[in-house]
Amino acid sequence: MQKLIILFASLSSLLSLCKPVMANDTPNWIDAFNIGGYASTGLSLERDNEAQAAVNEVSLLITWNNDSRLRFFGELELENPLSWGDDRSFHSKESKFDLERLYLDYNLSEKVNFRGGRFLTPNSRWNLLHAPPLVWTSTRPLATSRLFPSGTNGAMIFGALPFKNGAFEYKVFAELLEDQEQDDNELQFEHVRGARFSYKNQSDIGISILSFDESGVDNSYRMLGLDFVTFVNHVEISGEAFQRFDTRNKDGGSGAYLQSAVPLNPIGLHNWYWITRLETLQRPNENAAERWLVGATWRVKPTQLLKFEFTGGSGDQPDSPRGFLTSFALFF
Amino acid sequence: MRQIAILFAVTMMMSSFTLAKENLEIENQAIIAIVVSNEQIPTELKLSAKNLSLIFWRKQLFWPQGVPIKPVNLRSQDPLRIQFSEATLGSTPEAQIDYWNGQYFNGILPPYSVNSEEAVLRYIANTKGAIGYVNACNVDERVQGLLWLMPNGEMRKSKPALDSCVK
Repeated sequence: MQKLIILFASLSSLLSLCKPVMANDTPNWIDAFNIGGYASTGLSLERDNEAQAAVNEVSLLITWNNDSRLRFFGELELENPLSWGDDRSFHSKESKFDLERLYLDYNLSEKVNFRGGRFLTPNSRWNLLHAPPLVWTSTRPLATSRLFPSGTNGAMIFGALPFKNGAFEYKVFAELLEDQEQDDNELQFEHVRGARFSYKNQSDIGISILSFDESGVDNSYRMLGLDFVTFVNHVEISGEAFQRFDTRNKDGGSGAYLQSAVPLNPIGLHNWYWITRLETLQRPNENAAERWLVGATWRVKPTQLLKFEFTGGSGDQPDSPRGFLTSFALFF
Repeated sequence: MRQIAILFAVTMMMSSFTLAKENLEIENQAIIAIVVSNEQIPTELKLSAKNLSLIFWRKQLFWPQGVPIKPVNLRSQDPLRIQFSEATLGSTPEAQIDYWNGQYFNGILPPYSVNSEEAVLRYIANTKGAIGYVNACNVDERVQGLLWLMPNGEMRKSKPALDSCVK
C-alpha cells in the first residue's frame, strides 16, 4: 500500500509540473516532459484456484521531447499493487516496481533512428503492444511470452520508408547488457540480437528473426516469427506464429495464435466485440499446451476496455489460467 | 479444440453475412488543399503523397531543413478530415483509434486537432513547421498550397481550377 501511495504522490507531483504548451512554443526542458500511463484491474475465477481479484498494474509513461532530434522515453510499472485472494483480505505482498522501458532515441531522419537503453524486444506485434488497454483479452497468448525475451537492454537502429500507400519499417537490434535482476519464474535469455521488418497499410504484416541463448536450458536458438492484423468486413483478424530452431538440431519449440474480434453493432451492442482465440505452444522438454478463448469486450471509451473471457484447453500454464476472467483497463 | 475451431470458423462466416459493409463515401467531396505557412517553410519544398502519409502517421518528424513537423488535423467527425484520412492514410479516423493508442503506449502523440478550417489556417500561420489541410476554396494569403487532393482521390502538385468556389 505504501508503494501505491508513493506512486500516486509521484504522479501528482509530476503532473503539477505540466502546463499547456502553445503551438508555437519550443518547450524548455521541463515543459518537454509528457506524462501519461495506464492501469488495469481484474477478477479471475480459475478452474484450479480460489477466486482472485487484483489491481494488476499501474504504469507511468514518461516522454521528454523538446522538438529536438533527441527523445527520451520511460515506462515505470508498479505490478500487483493490491491483491485479494486466498486469505480473503486485501494485501500488497506481491507488489513491486519494474522498469519496463527506458531509452533515448536520436532521429537522424525518418529512415534512420538510433535507440539505446531498455526496450521491448521488437519481434512480436503483441509484445510491442501488450498494454491491457491495447489488447482485446485479459490473458496474453502463451506463444508471445514463453518463447523469447520480452525486453532487451541494448541498441537499435530503426526507420520507416514510404512504400505505395503504406510504410515499410525496419528495426535491427542487439543486446549489450544482460538483465541485472530476474524474477524467479521468469525465463532468462542472453546474447539477444535480431531484426524485424513490417509493412503498415490497411493490413499490417511483420516478419522477425531472432537469435538468443536460453539460460535455463543452456541452448542457443534462432527464431523466425510472422505476424499480421487485417480487417474483413470490419472484423479484426490477427495472428502470430513463431518457430525456434535449436542450433544443435534438436526441437527448438514453436507457438502460434489466431484471434478474431467481431463487432456486435449489428445486434445492437454498440462498441461490443466478440472475441475468439486459438493458441498452441510447444516448448522443448515440456508438454504441449493448447488454449481456446471466447469472450466479449466492451470499448467503453476509445481508451478504456472492459473484458470478459472464458479460457480452456490442455496443459497447466500459470501465465494462462483456465477459467473465467474479467478485467478493466484504461489509459490515463 | 476441434469444436472451438468450428466455432471460430462459424464466427467468421456469420460476420460476413451479418455485417453489411458501411458506405463511407462522402457526398459532395471537396478539393482539399494541403497547406503550410507562407513564411516558415521554403517555397521550393517538395512533398509527395507518400511523405504526407508518413507525416500524418507521425513517422516523419522533421522537414528536410531540420524543423520539426507539426501536423494539424480537423476533429475526427469533420467530413473534410474523413475525406483526407481515407485518401491519404487509407482509413477513417475512427479506424485509427487502435493505432494512436499504440503510439501513445510508445510516447508518441497524434497530430494536434482543431475544430474548424479557420483554426487550421491560424495554427499553420502561427506555428513553425506546421502542415494541415483545408477546403481549397478557403486557402488565403496566410498559407501556401503544396498539394491538392481531388474528390476522386487523385493528388495533384499544381493548383486545379476552383470554379465551384462561392465567394
